[in-house]
Amino acid sequence: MQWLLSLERQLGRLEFLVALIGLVVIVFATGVEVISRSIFGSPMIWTGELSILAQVWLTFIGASAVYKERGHVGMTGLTEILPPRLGRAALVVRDLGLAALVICVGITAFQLMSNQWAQTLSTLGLPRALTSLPVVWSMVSIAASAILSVFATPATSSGAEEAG
Amino acid sequence: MSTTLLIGGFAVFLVSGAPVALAFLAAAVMFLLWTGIPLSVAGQAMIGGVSNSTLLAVPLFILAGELMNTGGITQRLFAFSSAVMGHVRGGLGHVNVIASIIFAGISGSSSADAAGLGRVEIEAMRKAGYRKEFAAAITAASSTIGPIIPPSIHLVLYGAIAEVGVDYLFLAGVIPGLVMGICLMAGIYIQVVTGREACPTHPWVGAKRLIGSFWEAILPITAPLVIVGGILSGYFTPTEAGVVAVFYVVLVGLLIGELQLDGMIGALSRTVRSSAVVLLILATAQAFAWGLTIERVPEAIATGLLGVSESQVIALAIILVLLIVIGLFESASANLVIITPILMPVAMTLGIDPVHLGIIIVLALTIGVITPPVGMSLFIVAEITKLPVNRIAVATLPYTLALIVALIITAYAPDMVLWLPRLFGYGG
Repeated sequence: MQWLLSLERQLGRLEFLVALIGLVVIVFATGVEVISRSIFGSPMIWTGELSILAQVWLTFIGASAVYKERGHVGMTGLTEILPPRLGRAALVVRDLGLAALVICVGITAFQLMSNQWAQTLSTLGLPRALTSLPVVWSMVSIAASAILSVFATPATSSGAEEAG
Repeated sequence: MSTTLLIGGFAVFLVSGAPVALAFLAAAVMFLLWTGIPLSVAGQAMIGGVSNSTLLAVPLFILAGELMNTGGITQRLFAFSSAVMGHVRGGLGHVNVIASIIFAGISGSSSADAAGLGRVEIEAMRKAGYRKEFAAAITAASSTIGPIIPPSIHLVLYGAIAEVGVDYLFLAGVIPGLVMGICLMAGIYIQVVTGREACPTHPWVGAKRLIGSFWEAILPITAPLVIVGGILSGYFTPTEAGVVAVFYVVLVGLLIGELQLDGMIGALSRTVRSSAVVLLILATAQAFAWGLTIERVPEAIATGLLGVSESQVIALAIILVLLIVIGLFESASANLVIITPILMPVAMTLGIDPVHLGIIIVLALTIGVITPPVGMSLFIVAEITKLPVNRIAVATLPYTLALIVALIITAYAPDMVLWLPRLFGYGG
């Protein structure tokens, strides 16, 4: 189990780096857009599409990295006031339920991505599938982390540790 | 049944402690599976939700706020505010509010204010002999000005959802933001004169020191003029203003020699985390909101609200109560995505201007950042002061009331809110 947790941490770091690059690309592309239009009077048409593509990557890959750090906003609620065993059972049901539903989205996003490889983005000329790839990645990665948390969390722990 | 599944599923995941964004998604997926609508709708709604150029302003303004906190700018803002207001009855309490108003002119987030400026403010207030609870309470309360005074991440989100010009929303936020500041300062003053709070003041620093601190802070103080002026003069769009703010803050940080490489990397990392959280909520809430629309929930709520009374005054009062209550239980970003499409038809029927409505919604929901159980600013100042959240929440109550007064003034004085947008050509 330890090697799986270590793998999850490494994957989280990689995802965080990808999201960080996405943010830098947004700053760069939006900056180029402002400078080219306002100072040189010649707007560059590819900057808008690149910024939005980077934003999609930042959102979904970054969200997957943040999920691994338990950094998303959430409510500490029912599972905290339940007795430890019952709280733990509720967490297991919640995480398995989330994993199942999220993986459903991942599968349909994968189908969408498969149909998009032949299409290209209008100004960048890159495959349109690059917009759905981060959704597939994040959904599968989040589902895997949710399942891992079920098997890797000590049986006595409850929702108190889960405050997002 | 499908509506129950959608709303009930969301509630169950939420109270079980699931991340808000995933609770939205899980509920939307259950709804789609039950109704037999293809699941690809959820994926497309999510991607479409964040593939919007207006929303690029969200990570950019978060980054600007984070860079301000690492580049030595917040200290200079606080020093200047202290020179201006430190001698007035209420002392550093007023300084805290003034600094937040200036900070809000560059950053668009309450969390950046509470975490960055808050650290400087609370430390200074503790050294000056203020109660820790008061320092924490007024820091949290004044952080709510961030999302109202332009630039504002929440106004960008509202503009994208309601398809309202972000430039007009930014202009409309100026006066209500100042009203919030005035109400908070009045609250502090009342607390001091009634003896509930002892706020030591320091002597007037003198014109020479005031001019000196102004000179040291002149670049950050003039940043809002550069940002808003640039938008109004057409040099850049509100989204592009985000990157201008980032470049400006970096330039100022380098000029004053306090922005280091590790500080910049830290600011980028925190921005990735905050942006991913906010944008995923926005993305998944789109899928959830799509389900609500299919089930005609907004129309049902609109009919219900208007059934109570067709008077604008009463309906607006109900809306304000509704917004404050839902703001208690959910983050402002998530609420904004859900509540905006629901309230738009009501507002149109009642003749409420969409720009005015945006300011009302954002202000009301922002009050939720200083109330338990999900008040983000409350948690941030609790972490800084190491005080229990409940003690800070109690100390924050008078200022929550002050903000509710500001909300009521904003809601019932549309001409005050729309004065600036109209001055710059808004036709509403």
